[in-house]
Amino acid sequence: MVGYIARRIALAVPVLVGISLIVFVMLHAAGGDPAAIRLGQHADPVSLASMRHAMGLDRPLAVQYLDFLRHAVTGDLGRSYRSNAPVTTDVMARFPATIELAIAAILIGAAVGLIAGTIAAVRRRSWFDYASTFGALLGVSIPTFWLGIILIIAFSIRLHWLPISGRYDPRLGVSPSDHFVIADALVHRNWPVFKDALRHILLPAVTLAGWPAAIIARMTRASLMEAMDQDYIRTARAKGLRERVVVGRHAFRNALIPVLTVIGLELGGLLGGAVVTETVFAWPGVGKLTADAIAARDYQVTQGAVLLLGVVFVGLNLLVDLAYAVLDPRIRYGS
Amino acid sequence: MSSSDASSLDRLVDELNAGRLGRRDFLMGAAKLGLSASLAGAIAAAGRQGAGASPNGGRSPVSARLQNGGKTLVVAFPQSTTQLDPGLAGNSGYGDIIPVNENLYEGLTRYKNGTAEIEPALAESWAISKDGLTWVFTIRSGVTFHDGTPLDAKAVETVFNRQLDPNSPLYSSQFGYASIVFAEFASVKATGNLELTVTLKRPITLVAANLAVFAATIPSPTALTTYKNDYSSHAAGTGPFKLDHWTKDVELVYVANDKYWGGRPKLDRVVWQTIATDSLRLSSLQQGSIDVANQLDLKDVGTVSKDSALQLIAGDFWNVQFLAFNQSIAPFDKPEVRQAVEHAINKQNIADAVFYGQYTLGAGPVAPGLLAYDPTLANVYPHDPAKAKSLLSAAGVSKVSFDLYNRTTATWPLIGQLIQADLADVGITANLVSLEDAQFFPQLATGKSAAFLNDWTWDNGDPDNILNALYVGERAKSRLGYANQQVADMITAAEIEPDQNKRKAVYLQVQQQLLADSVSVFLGYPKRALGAAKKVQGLVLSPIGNIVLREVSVS
Repeated sequence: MVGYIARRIALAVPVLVGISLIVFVMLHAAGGDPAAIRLGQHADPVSLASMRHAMGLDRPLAVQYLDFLRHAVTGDLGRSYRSNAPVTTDVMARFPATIELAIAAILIGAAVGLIAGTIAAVRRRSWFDYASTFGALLGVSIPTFWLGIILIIAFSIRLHWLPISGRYDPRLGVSPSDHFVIADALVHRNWPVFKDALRHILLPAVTLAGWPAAIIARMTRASLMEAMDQDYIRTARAKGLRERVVVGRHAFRNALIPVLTVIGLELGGLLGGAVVTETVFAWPGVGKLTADAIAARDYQVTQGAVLLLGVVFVGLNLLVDLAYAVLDPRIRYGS
Repeated sequence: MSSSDASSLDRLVDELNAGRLGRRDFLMGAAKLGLSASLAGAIAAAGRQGAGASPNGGRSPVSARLQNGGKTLVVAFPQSTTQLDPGLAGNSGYGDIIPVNENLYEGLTRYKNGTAEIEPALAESWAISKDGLTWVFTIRSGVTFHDGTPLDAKAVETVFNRQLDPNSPLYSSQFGYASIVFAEFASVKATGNLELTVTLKRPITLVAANLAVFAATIPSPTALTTYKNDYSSHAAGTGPFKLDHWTKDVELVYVANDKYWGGRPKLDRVVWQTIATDSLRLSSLQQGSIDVANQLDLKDVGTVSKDSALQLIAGDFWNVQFLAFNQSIAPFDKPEVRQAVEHAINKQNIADAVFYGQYTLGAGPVAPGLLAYDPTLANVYPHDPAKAKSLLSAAGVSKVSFDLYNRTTATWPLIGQLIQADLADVGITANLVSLEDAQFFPQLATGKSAAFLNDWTWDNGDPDNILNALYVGERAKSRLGYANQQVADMITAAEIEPDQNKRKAVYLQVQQQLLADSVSVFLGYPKRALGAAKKVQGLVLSPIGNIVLREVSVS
């Protein structure tokens, strides 16, 4: 097991280097000049050259990349061109918002997906089965920017039920936005803030949950149907077990393994920052940070953020694989 | 449910949310509309919850109590502040620190709020030597920075010299505004505890105006030295508000500076939020989750002024939009072609279609409200497509085609399309090349753009700012292919002219010459509009684009 983990971590190194190289090449291929952005209307050839020199942009690209890599290995991702702050500080300040949103979305998505998928598998070809198939199709095909805006129009602008954007009402006089607001409020039993934060997270979380809910529902249905056809289910029924127990204890647990993979991967995707949803709801997460950094050609922040997200994704994948072994005693890693 | 039923339900929900209707009455009303009890119950429950943080008056006891605990103002703007060091002022070379800056920092001078007039700030007074080369500032006494250190002449010297003196330990060549705000500075010296002496290379008269620019405002030298690159998280100025905390691109929170020399501000906290989308910023204002929306989309000006809960704060903005030619690149090496473009563009159409009338039609480079603005210059090139065509045929050119570089942000794409259509009407083909800012500005710097659409936002409220930056020297030569020694001499001479009337006369002459040389089409001057909740009092529109909150209160 330990050997397996070590091998996986070793394998992650070329993956991460590859990610950073691709990002670096794409950023520079996109054109644009961070020095010119900083100077704006005052940019002229002389000031531009001196600004490029001050920002280290006049060095050869290979030197710039290797320099980034050399520092990244020691955990130093450089400093933002825009804010001058260390990239790790900037990204870490945004992670809590993304993590809270990702968890909220995956909870909603998994709950809806598991329930809908299970009912659809048990009541095969019923109206519910068809409705959930249709729902899943909508879930994967409705673009998030559209769904987000429709939800805002309906629930915020028309009905005034839910807030439009942000993580909490700043007039509640609460904590800085680089915290886990919901968890924070819960720990400190600050119920007004807790409620307010839940109301803020609801629309973006629902918007994001559409895709994972659809995928999880379909996966649960297929996996559960396969399990229901197994011999041990027939045996369980033959023993005279109630259908609830047959589905719940015998079929569902066995069907859960592939579903778990999907949940893990979807969570990884959500942690990667939902650029569009975060932008629509002005949600201060990593996705929005990355998008802003790309627009401003803030090379350091873009590279650093993508690299950190790569680490999270690779790590989560490993965790999912390890979870297999726990759930299914037949799976063994190592020798 | 019919549409009339739907609107009845809307009304019921509103009444419930406003607290005018009890839950029981709501359910009864809903039942009459044929709504099931469970659905109506769900709406009622959600509606109640919604009212909790519903801004329209803080109806919920919880938010009402918390709001009374402190007077908080929430201001949303489209851009984000990326840098709290006013010398470095971040992204897009510009604007993002301007709205927030003057609340945290002050310069030796400042603009009298809402005007181009200069008044003393951290300097109580100043004296200018006869030859105009020495300015002696008396620093205001008893002022402390937010980090507790005192303001004295030495502190100002340190802060100014980090942008001027390569031997200063805080020096960096990344201060993009040093050459503007400290133009012609020879030296800065503390000549007494509260006496600062500035000597100049040339006796320019703009020193007081330049020192009011955000990049010349004064952060604590102790904080700069202590925190170096991390200064922004520990920013300390002398302004009416102190930094509380900041999450880049998201939220910047100020709290009142109890020790402010001008008296404690009336607000306790100010929260600056970034909401990039215009419509969301407006909706947030209407919904009440923010108190002030900066930079309204001008099409929404009518909506805000009609809303009884809101107020519109609108006025001039020191900004000019133009289409610039490069005279060294064909076809614009021919003056007739440039003049044809001047006559072909329908500025009124831009004012109506893009700015919904909130636009002053372009005359010369100098914007309304500034010295030497002259609206009659708009008559030099009236909209006249027939004349444009005859100019082209007189010049003997038939097929005119060129690349028009444009930005992808704000209203630029629309303006570009209107101009493209106007030019097509007289037989000129403009190929729009739309670039995001990260590519647009480097493109300009190459000096290889036949024509481009751009604007100028004033740094210091003086005509010299645009004239000297755009129409003199290397930049004019490379970007515009323009080198008129007479114009350059007039602009340079006006810088050292103490008599404002004489300066005005010179700048009028310069503008006439620039139009005669048809260097650019001056399209117009967009206005600026803020929307605010009615309870916000004392907020004034500033033509330089900052939001000054020291006098603002919420009722």
